Amino acid sequence: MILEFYHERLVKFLLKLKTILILYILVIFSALRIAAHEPLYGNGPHVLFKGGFAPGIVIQSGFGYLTTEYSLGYGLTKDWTLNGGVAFSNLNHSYEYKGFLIKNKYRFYSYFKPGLSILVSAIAAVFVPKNSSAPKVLNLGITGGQESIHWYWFVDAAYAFIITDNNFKPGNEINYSATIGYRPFEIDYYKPDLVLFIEGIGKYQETSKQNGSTVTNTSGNYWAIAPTFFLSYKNYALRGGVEFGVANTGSINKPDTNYKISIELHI
Amino acid sequence: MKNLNKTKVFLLAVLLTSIIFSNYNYTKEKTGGDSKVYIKLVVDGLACPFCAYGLEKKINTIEGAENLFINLKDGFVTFEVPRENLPGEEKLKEIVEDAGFVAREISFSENPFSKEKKEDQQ
Repeated sequence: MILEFYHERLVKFLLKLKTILILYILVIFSALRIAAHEPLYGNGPHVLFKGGFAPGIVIQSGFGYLTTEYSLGYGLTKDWTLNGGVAFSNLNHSYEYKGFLIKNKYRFYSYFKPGLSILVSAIAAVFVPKNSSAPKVLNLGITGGQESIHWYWFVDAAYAFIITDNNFKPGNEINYSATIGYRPFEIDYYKPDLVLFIEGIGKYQETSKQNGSTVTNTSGNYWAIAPTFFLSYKNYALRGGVEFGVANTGSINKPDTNYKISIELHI
Repeated sequence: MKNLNKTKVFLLAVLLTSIIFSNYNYTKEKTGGDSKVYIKLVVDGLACPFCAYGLEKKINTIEGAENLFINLKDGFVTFEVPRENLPGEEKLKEIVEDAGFVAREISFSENPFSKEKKEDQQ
């Protein structure tokens, strides 16, 4: 009887811990998706010009949390952009440093025509949390898409390894997105430029493990949609959008409605 | 009499100076000056102002480059450089590639290029 009581409490505690970890990873992953002339919630293939710097701020907020990420990108070569950032979160009115991330993007295919570019890039990103007991996240992915003077489209998929020394290990994830965009006004380098996007976002989470054993009811999918915009004037860019959870399967929840804003500068 | 001669000399000097200057200005207008070369780059892949900024920044690394104009709609860039700093075609291709694009055509001229597409034939 006593054993049963403690077992029940242990299960409740683990479930609570799992919920916190999953929420934490969701928040961090949102922050990992740095906006650098690409979809706001997904990833795009665009890289910085050689020798260019791109400082930026990304703010994301939903029910009871707010994350802020300060990042700096650098164009190592015409095809390779390195991005570093620090993430802060405000969870239940407690604002604190959460960790840093390093993101590499390498453009390995490009096709150019007048007023059009088709690019494909590989992405490798790692998030190292401040708290050593929190999971590290290694993200490997690929992204491609088209930019033109009227239409945009992007697709991406990334596999996220959740690395932790804890007994409880959340399942790895596959994140993917598809985006279309349209420029409603005539393009002019010397005028503000607006592009409107619709992003479709999906996630599959594998089963979590406790001491190496599978924990049932911990995997699943969710899908979300996000109307976003990209407003720029020469080297200044403002992006914003709202993500709405659409559907889910298994044991993971749809994302709560949240908004995201980013400001970025190319220098 | 002496004063009259002085006046004639003065008037002649003014006349000659005017002729020389007007001819100089005419020549300068016609040839685009003797110190500038005008460059036009037709660039593939130009699709947004935010990414085109990298091209502006790279072109501005050419010493003395000025009067840069970017036409995104028609996909070309024009600017001028002092003749002594004139970059070669290979250098210009490299500059465009470092900005993330491809230079399809490179033209040099003694005269300024139009900012409209119709003068592509120039």
